[in-house]
Amino acid sequence: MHRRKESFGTHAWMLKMLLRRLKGNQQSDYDMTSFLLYVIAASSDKMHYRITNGPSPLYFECLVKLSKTSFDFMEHPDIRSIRPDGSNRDQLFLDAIPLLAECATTKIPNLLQQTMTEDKSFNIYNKDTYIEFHNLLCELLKRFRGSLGDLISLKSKDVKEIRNALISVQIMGDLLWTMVRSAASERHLNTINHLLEFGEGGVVPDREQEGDGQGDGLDTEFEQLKPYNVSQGRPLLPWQSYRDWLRLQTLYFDASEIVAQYIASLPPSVNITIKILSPSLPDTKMLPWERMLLDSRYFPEIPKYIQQPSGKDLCDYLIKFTADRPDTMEHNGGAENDGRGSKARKGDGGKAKNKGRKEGESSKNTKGSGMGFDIVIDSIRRMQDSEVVAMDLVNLDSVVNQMKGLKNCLSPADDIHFDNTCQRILKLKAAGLTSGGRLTLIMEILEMIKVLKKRSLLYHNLRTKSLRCGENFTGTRHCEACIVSLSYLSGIATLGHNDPLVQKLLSEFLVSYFFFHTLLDSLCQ
Amino acid sequence: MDLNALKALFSPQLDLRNNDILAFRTITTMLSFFETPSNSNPPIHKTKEEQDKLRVLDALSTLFVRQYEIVAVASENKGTGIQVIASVEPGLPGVTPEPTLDPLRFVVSPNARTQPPKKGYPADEFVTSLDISLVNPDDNIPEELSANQDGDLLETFLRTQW
Repeated sequence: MHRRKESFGTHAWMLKMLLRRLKGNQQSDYDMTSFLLYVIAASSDKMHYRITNGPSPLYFECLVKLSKTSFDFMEHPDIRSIRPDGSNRDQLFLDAIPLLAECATTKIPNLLQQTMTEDKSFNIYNKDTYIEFHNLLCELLKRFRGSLGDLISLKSKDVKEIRNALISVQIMGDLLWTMVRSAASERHLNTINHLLEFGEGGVVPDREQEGDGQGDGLDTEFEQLKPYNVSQGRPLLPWQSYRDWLRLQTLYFDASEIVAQYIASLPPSVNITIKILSPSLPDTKMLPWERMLLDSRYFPEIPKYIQQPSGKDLCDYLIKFTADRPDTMEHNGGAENDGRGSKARKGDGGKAKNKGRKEGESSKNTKGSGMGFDIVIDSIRRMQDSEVVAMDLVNLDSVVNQMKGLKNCLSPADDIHFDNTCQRILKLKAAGLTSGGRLTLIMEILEMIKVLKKRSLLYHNLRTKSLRCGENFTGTRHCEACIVSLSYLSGIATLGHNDPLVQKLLSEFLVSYFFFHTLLDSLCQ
Repeated sequence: MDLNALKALFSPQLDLRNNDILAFRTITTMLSFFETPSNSNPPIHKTKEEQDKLRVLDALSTLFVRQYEIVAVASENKGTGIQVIASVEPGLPGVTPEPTLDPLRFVVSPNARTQPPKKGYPADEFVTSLDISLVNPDDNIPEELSANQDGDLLETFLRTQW
């Protein structure tokens, strides 16, 4: 059963009204509490989902289990408490310690003692406090999860009871947030890095395996937590995965603080308005891409000084992108002169998979080359499991051969990326590769193959002159696309609202300039 | 251009609009194929001011997501020549706004769905509209809330919406 009664419009209105009360000197503790309690009331389902699904049960239990064992303290001088601006990352936690000492079940005499020292250079996380820190973290996690569970299962309609349940979540969440944001928590997770569990091969359940229908936003959040996922060129270490997981649990508290602080910095005279841009519902209909690119209404001629290609230039580029490649002819023997056969091959599900198919079956395949790439992806994924790695490494050559069979599904422009991927697969054979190094390399390879798969799908779809709507396109992207398009057009109008062309653009919700440039940038990468 | 004029622009008037929406879908779908993994994106240099602004927008977008929504948030705080994204309400009488601080105008875009995200989950008219629209949330607020907007809003919300 879902509690929700209010529409998204009501939610936006509530946020606006409560934020207005936080402006400048008007802000009071009461208003700030009301704002935070509303955020919890509106978002408690999601908070609860986050702390009970995905990797959360495993991470939770791992931390709790460590409370019952002993582990050594480690110095981490590289993690500094003092920010460049002189502020202390541990300050919020330091401020909360007296309250925690009074209310928490966990005894924290050493932490309390540390807050009384006059030495400003001390670290709150040290050999005297690290066990207390861990136990306190576990207690707050438990209490936060418990308070959310109580709120979610609350059947009462009594406002006082609801408010009390909200306040419990607020207090536990706030206290947990002060710990999670501290430098001390980073030091602690580093200390226990070697004891942290993260499941088989660092992989948390995939989106399709969760099956709870929570939408791609949450699943993406869990995906990003995977240990050894490559982010900004570096693998996510286990302690960083746990850190990000803890931050995810307290994200609403963080967001509330950031927004409230910003609003408080504004003078009361500044007004806040919120409008909702509601996009049209998606369906499968598309405008043929060639027609669209050549239509001056969507891709009008732009001034030469901007030095951007026209819609026709873009169209020509994409036509070239989909042109037959010489090596495809070699792969497919003499059938290339048959236009029907050639078309079917381009959308073939990959030679590795379709080798044994009867003639004519491949021409019915409308899924593009994704299936062939999926087989390779599965093979690589299996190598994440340390128990089967020895066996799979023997088959690396066969995986590379499978990959090579997919080369014809891509544009010649992708050859360099394709070869690079094959080389990286073979690197898995290298002697002396550590477990962490192997996982990092596997994640990099998987990312690269996923990109190639996407590009092969485009290659296929452009050839058949139609595109599919929805798949591979996240709701976030769609929202951003709508909003930026409108925003950009409004900017054009500001610059020259008397221009008939601009009026025409605005009057028909056109999509040209911004997407034109974005599309071009993407193609040039 | 006032807000009414803008609303008129978003109403379905021409058959051409259908093609415009189709073109929009075509481009966004094409873009989806080119999306590169985040770790391969080159870092984009942002000024401190830009970073701060993005931080606030990120935080605000988090707050707009209650459970299943996916939203994007944009703000405009420069210029007042055209009010496409949001209207600017007059400031308090007798108070001169500081010249460096413009009115805050946010526009939020939730994802559209053809059906509720989960069985039994109530459909939301704001995210199941048939045509693109720009909505002022003030226009469709439950009476209990709008009548008590100067009082204890949380109390009213819990009493009437929980």
